[in-house]
Parts: sequence; structure tokens; C-alpha cells
Amino acid sequence: MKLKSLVLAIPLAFSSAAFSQVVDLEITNLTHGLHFTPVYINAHASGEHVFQSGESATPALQAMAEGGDISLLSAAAVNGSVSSENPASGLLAPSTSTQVMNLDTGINTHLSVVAMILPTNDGFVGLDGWEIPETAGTYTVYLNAYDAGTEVNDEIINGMGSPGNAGIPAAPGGDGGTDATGVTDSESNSTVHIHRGNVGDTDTDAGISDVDSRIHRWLNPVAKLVVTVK
Amino acid sequence: MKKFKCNHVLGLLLLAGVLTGCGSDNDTASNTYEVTVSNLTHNQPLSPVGVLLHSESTHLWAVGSPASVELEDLAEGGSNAALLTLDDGYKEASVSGNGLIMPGNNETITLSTSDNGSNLYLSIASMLINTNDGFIGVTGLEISNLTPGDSMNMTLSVFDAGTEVNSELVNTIPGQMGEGFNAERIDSNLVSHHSGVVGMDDGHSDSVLDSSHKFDNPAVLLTITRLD
Repeated sequence: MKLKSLVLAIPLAFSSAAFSQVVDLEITNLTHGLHFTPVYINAHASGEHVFQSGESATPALQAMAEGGDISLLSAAAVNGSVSSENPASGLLAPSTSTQVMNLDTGINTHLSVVAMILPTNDGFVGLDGWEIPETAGTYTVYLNAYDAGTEVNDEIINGMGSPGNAGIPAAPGGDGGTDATGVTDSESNSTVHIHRGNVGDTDTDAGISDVDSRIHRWLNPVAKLVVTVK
Repeated sequence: MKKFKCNHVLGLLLLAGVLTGCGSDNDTASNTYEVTVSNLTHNQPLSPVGVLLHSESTHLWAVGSPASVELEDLAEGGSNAALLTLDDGYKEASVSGNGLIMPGNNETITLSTSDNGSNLYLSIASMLINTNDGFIGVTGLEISNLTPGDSMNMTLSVFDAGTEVNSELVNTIPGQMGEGFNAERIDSNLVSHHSGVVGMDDGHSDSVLDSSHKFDNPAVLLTITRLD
């Protein structure tokens, strides 16, 4: 009788161990001329989301997407979820990578990643609820650029990063323009969606856009995430 | 030597109760692969493809690292000659495609290695000739687990070699009779993904390119089949 209960207990022990996974993460900015603001990573339960396509951005997501501020996302993290914040200690430059080592995901089964893309109005690189494999190994995921749907894509670089204020905070590469008249003054899709891309122009001190079409456009995917499940 | 190795392996497999062919009528055991490159773009001919096999996970480039001069030669000028001569000691085979692969077309390149080792890695590269330094490719792709008759396929995104600024000016685009390779490095000097071309129809009035040259990812469909 005792032996039988011991035998039953072993598979249970193994399955609960499989849920408590330790992972290494490597995030690469694949773009040629765009910076990522501080990266926010959250391991959470199935059904939880940091963002969702077709849904309105939360105020916390909006603050990240418009200004790169991840403090509200951190404060809004679901109890029991596990976060890693700002592994690059600031901006993640084009073609560079950052690592998170030994992230213990605890009971959480899904992974989300976000970071604002500069220079954009409210563009961000995103991964929404990717299921962490239970089998040890190395997994590669490619990430697309999203639009938070909260701000008009006027492409005017004016230092504005606070939610609700139009404009782009900065072009960290020092390659943005000034005095643009603005690409558009309307945004018809106010939900999170795949970003349509920057338009830009080649005029650095006039024109419709302060974004440089030769430098600040992109094609998806914009980031690579390598997850090593230990 | 090769024959002995083959018989030895066959013996082990028979012991394990597995019936297998080992090319017994052929003194040289070999692995032969067909690599098919399909151009999915609208107006971006692909320069002659370079294909290499390695016995170690050799990477001919990496996002975030400077391009080698050999890769720069391919990405700026469309020549695979230097890349194909690169040998880190693990090169098993290198083959060039026959010529340009036009949009909508494909080319199948066959290559073999006599090495019966367990590890084999594929690299391919080709320039999008209506760009400054855009190229497609895959490098260090493990194909060891393909058995004869197996195929795998994948789509490829476009890289930027980071060695030449994406000016799109007439004298810089080889597909428009502009300059090819130039050793001077006037860009990030880091390999990245490509941001696409802008073109004269999209506000870049100095560009020699037009809307026909725009592309998106993926740009290429790659199919790898092991024959024997």
C-alpha cells in the first residue's frame, strides 16, 4: 500500500517540476536603423496578456508604446507572474542583443515581450503569450512590429513621449529630422494591430515626416527571441 | 577506407536488426543534396547562389557582427567567388549556381560530400541585385538529420550586410549598372535585417529604384532534399 502511493507520487513530482522552468532569453534587434526602448518581459499564466491584437491597449501598454515607460506595465503585472525588466539597461540599438539569464518562470507557462520602437509614434515589438515548451532545448521565435492604436502616426519628432500627446520622443541614432508638417492627423484603427510601417521622407528639415525613409523603415520580423529551456 | 567504414556501419546496423542500403555497389559513400532556391520577389533578380556544406556549425555571418570581406563582395556586387573559397577547415563542398535567378523562377543546385560524418551544415547566400547590399541566405543550418528522400523547406528574410549605405543612387546599384563591391565601409558595419527599398515612386526622388523593386519578407523559398 505504501509502495503504491509512492509510485503514484513520482509522476506528480515530475510534472510539477516541469512547470517550474528556468529559461535563458536572448533578444536581438534585427532592424537596420531602429532602437528599442527598455524591454519588458513577463512570464504569466495561459489566458493572461500584456497586449492583444484587436483589443484596445491598456494604459500601461500605451505608456510603453508611446514613451518607452515600462513602470506601469510592471505595476500592472498579474500576481504570480514573473517579470524581467530592462535587461539592456536602456536602449537596445539596431543589430544588437541583450540576455536574461536563469529566469525562473515558476508556475507560469506563457511568455510575453514588449518594447517601444524608436522613432515611431506608438510602435512596439511584441510577443503575446507564447507557450514555453516543457522540453529542454533552444527555441527561436521571430517578433513583429505592432501599433498600439493609441496615437496618430504623424511622424513628428518633438520629444513627446507621454500618453495622449502627439509626437515621437526621439530618434536615438541622431538621424531624425525636424520641422515636418506631419504624415497624417487621423488613426482609424484604435486597437492593437500590426504596424503599417513608417513612411518617412528624405528631407531632414521639412517635408511631411521627421523620420528618414532610407533609415527608419522596417520589414517584419523586427526581433529574434531565442529561448533556452533548461 | 571509405568502404571499410561503410561495411563497419552496415555490420552494426545488421546486428541491431536494421536492414539498410549502404551504397554497396559504390566504393565512395556520399551524401547528395538538392538545394532549390525560388525567387519570390517582384523585380529583384538573385545573383548566382553560393552553396556550402560544412562539418561544423560554421556561420558565414551573424546579425550584430561585421560582414566578412567575402560576404561584402557578394552582398554589394553579387559575386560568390570569394565566399565559396572561404575554408575554415570544415568545408565539405562549395558550389555556385549557374546564373541569375529571375523573379518567379527557381534553380536547383546539387552538391555532394563524401564525408560520412554525422554532422553536416548548410550555408547559402545570394544578393538581391537591385539593392545596395541586400542579400538572402541561411548559414550554419543543420541538415544532419535528413535521411535519403527527406526534404525540408523554409522561407528566408532579406539581410543587410551593413557595409554600404542604402542610398539607392544610380551609380551604387549593380542591377542598374552601378558599382558593385567597394571595400570602403560606409554604414553600420553590422549585419542586420534589411529595411526594404524606398524608390523614386515612394518619395526618394534621387533613387534609381522604383516601386517595381520593392520587396517584403519572405523573399525566397528554400527547399533542401537529400537524395542519397
